[in-house]
Amino acid sequence: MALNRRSFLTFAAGGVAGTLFTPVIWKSIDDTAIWTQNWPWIPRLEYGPRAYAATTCKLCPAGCGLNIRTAGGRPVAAEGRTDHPLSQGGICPLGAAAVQLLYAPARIKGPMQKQADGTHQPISWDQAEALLKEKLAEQNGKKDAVVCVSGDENGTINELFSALLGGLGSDGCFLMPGEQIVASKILREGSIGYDLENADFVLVFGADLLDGWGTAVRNKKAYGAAHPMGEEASAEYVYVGPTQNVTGGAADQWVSIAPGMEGVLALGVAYHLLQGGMTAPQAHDFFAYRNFVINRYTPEYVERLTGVAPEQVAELARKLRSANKPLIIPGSTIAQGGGVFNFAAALSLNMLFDNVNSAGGIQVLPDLPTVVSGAKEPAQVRAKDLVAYVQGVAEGKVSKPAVCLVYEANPLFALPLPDVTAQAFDGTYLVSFSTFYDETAAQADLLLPTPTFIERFDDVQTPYGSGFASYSLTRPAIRQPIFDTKPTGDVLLAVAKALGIDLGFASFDKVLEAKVAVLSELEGFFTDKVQPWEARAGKAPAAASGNLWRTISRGAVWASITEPFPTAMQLGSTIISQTAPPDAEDWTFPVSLAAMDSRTYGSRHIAIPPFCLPLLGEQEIQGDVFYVWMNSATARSYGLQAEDRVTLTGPNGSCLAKVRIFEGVGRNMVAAPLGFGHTAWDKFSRNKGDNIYKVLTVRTEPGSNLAVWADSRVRIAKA
Amino acid sequence: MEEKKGGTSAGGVVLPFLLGFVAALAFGWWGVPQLLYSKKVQPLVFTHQNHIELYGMMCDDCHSFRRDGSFAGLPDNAKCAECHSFPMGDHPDEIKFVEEYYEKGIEVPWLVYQYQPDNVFFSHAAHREYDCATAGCHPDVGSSNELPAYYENRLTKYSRDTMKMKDCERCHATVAAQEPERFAGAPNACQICHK
Ligand code: SF4
Repeated sequence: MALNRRSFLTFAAGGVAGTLFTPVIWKSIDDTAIWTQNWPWIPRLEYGPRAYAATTCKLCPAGCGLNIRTAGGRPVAAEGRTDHPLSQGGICPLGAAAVQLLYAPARIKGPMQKQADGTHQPISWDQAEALLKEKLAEQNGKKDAVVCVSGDENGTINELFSALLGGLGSDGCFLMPGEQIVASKILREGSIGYDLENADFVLVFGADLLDGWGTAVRNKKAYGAAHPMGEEASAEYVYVGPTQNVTGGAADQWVSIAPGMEGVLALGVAYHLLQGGMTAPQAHDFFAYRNFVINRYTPEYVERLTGVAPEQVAELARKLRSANKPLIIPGSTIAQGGGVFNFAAALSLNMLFDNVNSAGGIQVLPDLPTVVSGAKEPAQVRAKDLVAYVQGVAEGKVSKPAVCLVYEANPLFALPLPDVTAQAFDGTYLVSFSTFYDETAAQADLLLPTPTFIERFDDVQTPYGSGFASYSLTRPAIRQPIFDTKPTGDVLLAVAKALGIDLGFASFDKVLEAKVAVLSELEGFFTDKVQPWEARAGKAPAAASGNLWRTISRGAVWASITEPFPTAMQLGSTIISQTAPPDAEDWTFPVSLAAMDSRTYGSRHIAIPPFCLPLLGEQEIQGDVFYVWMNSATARSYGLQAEDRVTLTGPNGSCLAKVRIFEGVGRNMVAAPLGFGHTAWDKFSRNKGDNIYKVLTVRTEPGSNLAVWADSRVRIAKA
Repeated sequence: MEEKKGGTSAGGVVLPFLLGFVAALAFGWWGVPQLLYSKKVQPLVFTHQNHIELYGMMCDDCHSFRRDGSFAGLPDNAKCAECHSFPMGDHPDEIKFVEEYYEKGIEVPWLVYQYQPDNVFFSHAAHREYDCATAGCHPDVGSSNELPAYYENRLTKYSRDTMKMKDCERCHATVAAQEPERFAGAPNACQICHK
């Protein structure tokens, strides 16, 4: 057979025919399709052993216990920890986004320095620390030339900041504002806690107990335990505040009053209790208090200021009296910027019921001893008023700091009047330790990113609002930090050493070990078998023993319910009378602004994570415009309808929003969420809505001289 | 001339055609698989048979379900080291396991014959009533003395034994049809597997 053209073609034809009887074509098509699944840019699952790492959340001050689930050593999800008394298996939306935040595009990948053209360029850690040392050395010995702003209310890291600043001759260690700052004006030592679990009647003034306030997840658990499905509730919750926020919506009763009027209503209730013959013989100032309340907070006066009918106030007093264990919780709806008046007035009701340091009452909780030499006591740090300081600097009354260290805080976004804050710090050498490119980092001269709480050791001491003193650790759930970050504690220690300031420790881990070591000298127990509220109600826990570091670093929670010191109780008649609000109408800014803070919108230092965006309803944000809420009567009186665009204008700024009609907002009030309007961060969190902090108004409370802004007022107009 | 042409034409057409046909069959059925798959061997010798017959172990001593119902898959070093933290005997792979993997904290990179692609959600817990081997999902290695070779598709990087969608579908169709009440959750709707 000769190989000619014809036979070749027939051979080829045979080949083609034969191929049809093999899987080659079908297999090739199939495999090619599968191959396209494996292109390198397509995300792959990580395989490997699964594990859980028990840790503590640091995304807000509530200190929930989290389990970080890992696959092949890579964190994949954050879940609530059932064995942690501050979360009991619960988690908030922000905590649930913790793992996603680890990989967020907004993370800063290493130390950076601001250039002349305003951009940030990477530098090495050695260069960064040398630069920080140099800047601090220039200010060494100059009084209050270096300040720090910490958003971590309850971490031991604050001891390093205050000790370092102290070594440099500065007293400027500030916390971001929060309820604990107001509480510290009442109680000079220790902090105030609320034993929700054992109370049977909870009267909340302002505080959004079940969302953005205090130990929110624990509060929800206590509320849930008292409201079992299909059964009688074992505790009644009454919420006094401007909106049906989560707490107002869940409570058995909602009493609508404007922000800032909580104290007036509380004293209105006190009026009825005192008229009914209640006394507080344990308080030295009872008679002064009684006279002040009875003379001033008459039902008519209270109705005029709050709009709450006298019968309703009397009914609240009656309910409180008929409860076995009433608990009254003071607070501001946004857990910041409230005044001493509202706080002290609501707190004083507890003393009429003599429920201090008893089950179901308010608790005086000790601060744990400091371990860093030269560090300030937590109470001293809490006593400082950052907002008043910033206002003072902006107005030129206080000298501008030369260097400002910002840790776990975003003051250029989350202080009232962010423009004033920016102006106050203009010219200051701004150092940000943030691991996210937030508004403050975007302006900072030096960026020294700290690892996220999933990548570092850290701690949480008694969060504000907790009913017991506690301590738990945060530990890395990942082998290596994802980016070139360095724990701020270690940076501070290295820089202090270079400056010749001896803080007594070689690393931040050692500081934490020392902190844990002091716990063994205190009376405490691990919350595995007996929970602190059970202990307070009489169940005996076994004292904590063994290797405390080993146990706590693996997730155990140390707790204590001992009474720290004899508290000579006062009803606070002096401070209440001095701080009482002036009885004047404001016609320029006629509408009360009820700001709302929710963990769905992030926290004070974390912008809303992409993970939480789908939680936002159609009537929370549309496109890049967010909604403010008002009831239909308020809307009508301003000629507004649902979906209309409005501007809210305060004395120093304004915000653009759309109108949502919601009857769960009191009359002549407008409710608006905090946490929108970020301009830095990443494309997911940026340019969504507007920043309500811009329209908050700071006033100085007479008598306490505290900066107050929770009761801001605005003008509204159709845009 | 014409005859010759005609004669060769019959044989001349059939033979090359047949040759081409056979060559294509051989290439398609034998050659392509040789080209397509690379053969890999497991990092260590492992005998299921010994573990079961000599030591009386059960499958789920190692391939267990966790408390949350998820399948633990292959045991990790820690599990193996419950018995093999020191070499048991002098087989070189026994020593290799202890020295190269366990002591260095490196997990043995076992080759898994059956990983499903990432776009498939597969729960062992939902299938635990079926005998893994006889249902045809897995090669039956349980009673073997050595682990079969692992063939990796050079193009897709998947194991040759990866279960195909049609196998899943067939079973879901028959099982769901047999006991519709009980297996209401096992229809062939896309989202059952592709979540
Ligand atoms: S409430 Fe705060 S501490 Fe708790 S999970 Fe949420 S962000 Fe974390």
